[in-house]
Amino acid sequence: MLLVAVLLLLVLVGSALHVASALGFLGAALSSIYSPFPLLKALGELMWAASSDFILLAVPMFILTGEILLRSGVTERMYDGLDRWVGQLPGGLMHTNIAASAIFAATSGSSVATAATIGTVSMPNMRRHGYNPALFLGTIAAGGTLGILIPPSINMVIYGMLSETSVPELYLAAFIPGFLLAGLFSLAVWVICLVRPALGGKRSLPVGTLERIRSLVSLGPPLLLFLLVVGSIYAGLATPTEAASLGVVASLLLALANRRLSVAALLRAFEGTVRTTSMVMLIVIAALFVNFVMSTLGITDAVVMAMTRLDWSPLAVLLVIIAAYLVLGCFVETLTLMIATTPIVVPIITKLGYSPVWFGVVFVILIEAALITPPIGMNLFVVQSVRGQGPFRDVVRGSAPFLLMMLALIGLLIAAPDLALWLPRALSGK
Amino acid sequence: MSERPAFTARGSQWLAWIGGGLMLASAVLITCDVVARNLFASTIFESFELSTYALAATVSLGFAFALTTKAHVRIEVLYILAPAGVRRGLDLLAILSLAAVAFALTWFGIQTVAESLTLGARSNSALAVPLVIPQGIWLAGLIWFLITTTWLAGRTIVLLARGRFDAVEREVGIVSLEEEIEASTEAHQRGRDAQRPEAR
Amino acid sequence: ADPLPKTTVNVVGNLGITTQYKDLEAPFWTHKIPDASDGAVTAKIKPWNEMGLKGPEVFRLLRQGLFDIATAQMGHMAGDAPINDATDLAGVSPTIEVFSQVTQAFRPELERYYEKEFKVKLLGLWSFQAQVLYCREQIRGLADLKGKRVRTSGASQSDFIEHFGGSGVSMAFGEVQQALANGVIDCAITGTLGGYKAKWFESAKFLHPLPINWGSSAQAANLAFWNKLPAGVQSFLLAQIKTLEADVWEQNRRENDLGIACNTGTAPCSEGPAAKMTLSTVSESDLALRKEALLKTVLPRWAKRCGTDCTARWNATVGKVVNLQASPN
Ligand code: NA
Ligand code: NA
Repeated sequence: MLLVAVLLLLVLVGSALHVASALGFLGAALSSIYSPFPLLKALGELMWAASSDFILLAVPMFILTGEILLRSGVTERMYDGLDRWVGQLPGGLMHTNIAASAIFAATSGSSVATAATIGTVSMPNMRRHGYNPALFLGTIAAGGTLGILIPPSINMVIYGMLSETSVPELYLAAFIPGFLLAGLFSLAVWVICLVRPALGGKRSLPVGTLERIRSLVSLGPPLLLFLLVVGSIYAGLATPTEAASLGVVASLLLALANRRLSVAALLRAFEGTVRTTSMVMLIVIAALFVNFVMSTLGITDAVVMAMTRLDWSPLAVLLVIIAAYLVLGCFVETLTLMIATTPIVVPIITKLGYSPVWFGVVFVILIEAALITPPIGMNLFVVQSVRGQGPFRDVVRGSAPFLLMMLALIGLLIAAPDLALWLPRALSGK
Repeated sequence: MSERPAFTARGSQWLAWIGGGLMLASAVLITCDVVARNLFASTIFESFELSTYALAATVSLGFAFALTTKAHVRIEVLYILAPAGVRRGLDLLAILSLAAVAFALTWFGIQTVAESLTLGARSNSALAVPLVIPQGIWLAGLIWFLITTTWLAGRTIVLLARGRFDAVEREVGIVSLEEEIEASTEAHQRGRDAQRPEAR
Repeated sequence: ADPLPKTTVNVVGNLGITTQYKDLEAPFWTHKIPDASDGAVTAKIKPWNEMGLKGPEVFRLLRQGLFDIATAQMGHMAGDAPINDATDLAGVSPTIEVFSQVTQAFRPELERYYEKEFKVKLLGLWSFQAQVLYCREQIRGLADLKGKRVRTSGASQSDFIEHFGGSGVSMAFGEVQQALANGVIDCAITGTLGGYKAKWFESAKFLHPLPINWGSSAQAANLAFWNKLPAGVQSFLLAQIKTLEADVWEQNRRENDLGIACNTGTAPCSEGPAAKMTLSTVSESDLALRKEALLKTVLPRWAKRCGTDCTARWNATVGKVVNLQASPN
């Protein structure tokens, strides 16, 4: 039965059906072959329950915030401000790219929005200051992926919903790994530029302490947004979804204050929001239906049993799962990958004795990797698009060192799970 | 057949604007409730419940827009290896399949709304909203999705019969790398437009 | 006796994290039923939450024939039909004994409603432990609920909280612990042992043991499935489920005090290390306030939702047991 399911899925996906169709047909086929019950009839109720799920409301809120922020003019000033602080390291503006991505990530739930925003602001500098394009573009593509690791995060909201894990706990767990990964990215740039100074471009001009301190003002709006969309959760003021909604209102006010928002621009923001939300939700609905059919038929249990009966060590199974995601991540759109596999993989992971919160962090890093691996890597596309000229392979090549840093971080998390688990434990006083 | 955007594309864009507006309105209501709750320990709008209905409406009203703007994901690993003729066949298969899915969603959506109607179901909360109201709006989005997929499937058949392969690719093919890049450049472009409102 | 004809039953069980599901319901269907029927009747069971369901849709799907038998929490389904709240209105049953009597009194009415109007066959009615308040700050009595945000499940609990000037917040069970930790809510209501199992004590330090209601659940069969079963299997299942029902009630009588012990460490806890919640004492005035909330808010609002006929049936059954009369006006 499991074999039939896998083969069927491969055929359906391989024939380039829409992912939601492929999942839907898989569910319908499995149910009509193996179940005496009309499982298809559950579709209406499942669809309504998923479409009206308050947790998932965070998804459009994050996207809308990103769409508005992109137009708000907040990022340019933040970028210049950060440059006063990190621009003199070997690698110059590339550190600024990473730092700006990390800070922007703390206000945005999406990797694509982060890469697009930082890319738009920093790209003109690349040519002006004579940077090696590949590495410079890599810092934007990879830096952008921090958008889903550093809270808030669309992917963590969806993971939390599908695996019944607490979103605030996931956010806390991702906090240290998120900024650690930003540090690792910077370290990579620093080392590469020490070894090959030619890649580094011009460093930013030294600035006085006073000017540095004055530049901190530009960090105000992002800090405000971070306090609203993440801080408000831990201050006990709002749930993750409410916090995401506060972000929408705040970004709208910022854009209005900067006189950057026309009605036409707002309509474009609406379009971007609805387009992505409906795309994601159609797959979520299809995945929930397949999950319903598979758990009714006992396939989910069979997979988990089979994995545990393999008698491999938990670490071996984990490594196989990680390898599988790295391969799949090259080809499959990342939200699709996450939504379609979470219901199967998380029960295996918990059966092996790993914490689903910890795995959520590892999973998101794997998704980040998928965003910068060719041929299908959304952040690679975004960066190439913002650049507008030159060979695509530059972006791919420049992102490679950061892929290694992601793998290194996964290794660290396996060796020291407390990197993720300490903060949630410390703050809940366990 | 005109090259002007079809009624489905224009209608879907309107519905997307409505959906986006619903999300913005939800964000505002939720914000008011969060403020009121923390300042006065009371809520004003029951935004928790109302915003979930807004989400359901936005999601289903946006299905068709995601289709006409080619956002619904297809995996292209094998597709790009296939010769052009086969690819157009796969495009037809995909749009027909999606029409079938839209039919199933609409059909079972109708069952759910009908069930709420017969039971006289209300939301299990202080508001006690008759569920047929939000579910009815949600169902309207599903029906529009069915209309759009069916129309596009029919149009694909007609275009294939006339040998207009390029048009098929443009309307229902998988987004190419160039288009993908163009779409995200558009987001980038939009950022600039914002400073020049007359650009649109 | 003649051997029973071969039958397989597809069962959806109650919330999977509860002792009720793990210790009683799951072994009942996977072991006891096959054993007692010499292998003739076999069953597959899966709790609804593990199928990706949320609760309110379980009986809707049952009635459409997606499963043979299902157990669901009646409070979740009160939106589809307010009659589901009839046995477990907040404040009606001060003790589990009264709740048991109330349940038995209304059972024929539910049986009739389920079979005639909802097209499912009612097989069993049971409860969880007392549904009590877990709070971040000390609650000395119900009057302290004023201005508090309380996680409730179902309309009757919300009405109860609103009576005291608090506001009922609806929230998924899994989000409650964190919401309490962050102060998004001040209190939450659930069973005495259920809250311990979900580790609510990590963020709520105060337990107010006054039973608000009992978390009623129902087990039912799809009517078409049931009517097609051979009479022998029907009576076999009914007899067996009666024993399961008795076991569940017995478990909850036991676990009610056990849950309080585990949360507060005031008595030995067999379920793990006891937590250190502060237990408040239930005063006479609390008992009076609970009754007042019932009479002034919970009962009238529910009667209005349920309608004249429904209220009359309640008055003729539950009303006689607890000596109360509801009126929809
Ligand atoms: Na983020
Ligand atoms: Na990739």
